[in-house]
Amino acid sequence: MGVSQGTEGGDARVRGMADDLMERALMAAAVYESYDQEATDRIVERVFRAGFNRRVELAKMAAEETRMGVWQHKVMKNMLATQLVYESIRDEKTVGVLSENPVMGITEIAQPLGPVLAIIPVTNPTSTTLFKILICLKARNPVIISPTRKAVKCCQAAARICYEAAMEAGAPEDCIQWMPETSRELTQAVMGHKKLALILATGGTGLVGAAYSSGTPAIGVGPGNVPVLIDDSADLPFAVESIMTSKTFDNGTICASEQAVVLEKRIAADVCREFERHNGVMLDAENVRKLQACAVLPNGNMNPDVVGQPAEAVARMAGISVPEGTRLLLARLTGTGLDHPLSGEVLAPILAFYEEADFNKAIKRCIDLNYLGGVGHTAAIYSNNEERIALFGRLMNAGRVLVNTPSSQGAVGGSYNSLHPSFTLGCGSGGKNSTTENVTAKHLINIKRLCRLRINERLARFNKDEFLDETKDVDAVLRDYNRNW
Amino acid sequence: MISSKYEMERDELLCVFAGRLDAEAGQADTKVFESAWQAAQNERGDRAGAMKIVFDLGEVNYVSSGFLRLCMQASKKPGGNQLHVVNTSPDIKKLFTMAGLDLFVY
Repeated sequence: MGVSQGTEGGDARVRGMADDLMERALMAAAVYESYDQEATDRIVERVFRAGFNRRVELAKMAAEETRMGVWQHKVMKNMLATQLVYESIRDEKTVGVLSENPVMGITEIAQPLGPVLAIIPVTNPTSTTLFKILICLKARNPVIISPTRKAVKCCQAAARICYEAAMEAGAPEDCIQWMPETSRELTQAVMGHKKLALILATGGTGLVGAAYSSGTPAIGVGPGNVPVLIDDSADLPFAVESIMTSKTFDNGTICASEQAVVLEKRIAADVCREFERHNGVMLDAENVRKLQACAVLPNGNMNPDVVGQPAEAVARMAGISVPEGTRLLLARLTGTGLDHPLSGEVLAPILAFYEEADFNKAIKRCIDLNYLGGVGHTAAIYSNNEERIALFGRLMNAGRVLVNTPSSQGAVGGSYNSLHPSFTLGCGSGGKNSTTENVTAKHLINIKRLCRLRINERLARFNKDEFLDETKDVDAVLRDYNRNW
Repeated sequence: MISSKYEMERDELLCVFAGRLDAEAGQADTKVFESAWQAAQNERGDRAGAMKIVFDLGEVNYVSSGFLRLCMQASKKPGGNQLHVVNTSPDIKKLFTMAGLDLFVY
């Protein structure tokens, strides 16, 4: 009885907290909906400036609190999440009439979604917080930040900086909130709250699955398993340097970072030499076994202890001796799936390495890797052969197929291509998402359509009795329906 | 199917296909495969254990759902036979993967 009462008491407490958060968010939503574009943009600009100005402090906080990644790289992420994201949404119309077509009689009008729950991953905590706040505010949606336990302080600090700036710019009270605690119960209570409009879920498979199961619309981004194919027409030194830049960025914490390099046998020796030149170490079979035992748990999931750690630290954890200055651990594999644990996603400076007899076998290996755990996410190719690039683009199931581009930086957009800068990468139906785009402010508005009377002249002139006449087949009906009067 | 051969030593039924395996070809191939499989069973006699069935698609440029059904039938033949689909083009490999039959593709 006592236990039961305790549980009920706990449930009531959690429900109370969720209700309180949502009440505040709803009031903010109601007030925010009355803001015009100018007032909205003023708030967004102020928040961007505040977040950008604190980018270094927040990056250091994130690296220190999570013990993952490289603070200098986290500064770049914070820059992207503020400067580049702001630049991409600044001139976007998100309030009032978006378009008016008098001929068609349709006027498109933006309206906010309502309160958004932003789930923040431990791998990119402050950058994702800044990013989600900016795109939510641009669409006039109040946002509730839900950090993971390992990144509470830095996420709250980022949210507080944004909130203070927003308030100074005249934003409605409680337009930015953060979870008062990081319990699973509270997260679930808010996710399933009937007044919540959307969940922006970035994180592990379990959390994203919970968001989808909550009954609230969700844009969830789960794991990737990015294959990168290098063919014999590629500029090999460029390709390897680019992969190193990407895979070692923030110690591999970006889910769009390369997980496996696949290449034709004839260029394997040259590619290996290039990796070695950049302090990549090709492990022997014994060390691959040690690494997989350390980096991948028996259930096939990556070991959280290696996530975002430098290559030398990962090697130490695995009991592998590597030269000082090692930046990347390369594991030669011959298969994919559970029997080859390193063929799945590990967010650390570890790269699976496949040599295949020819291009066709290489692309088939990429299909296996793509479908192993990263359907809909990202794939990359280094090639100067347009036919092969087109074939790769056609066969990969990925929201982003990057060509001659570092995939970590390329997938998040803004710096290596014209994709929307984003820390929420849509993965389409393969990733159980409603979009394959890089999610941004335009995904966070409802567009209503004011439709004026426009008579369909053909239907109006058409003798409707023909529809009732069974002897009229489709060609006969269409001939009369499309008749020129 | 352009040829089929049972190799006693490897206990392997090799079926080689070519061209477009459309619905019509799928029906014809199913009949030919059934005969080949029966012939292989006769050759095997009382031999126990699983037989390996290999579908070589090296010269195939299109497969219909009829052929995928043939693969399913082949994999379900009594005796726990192992089906190996080999020499697929990248397009056909993708098709098998999307159909959830990638475990047959080698």
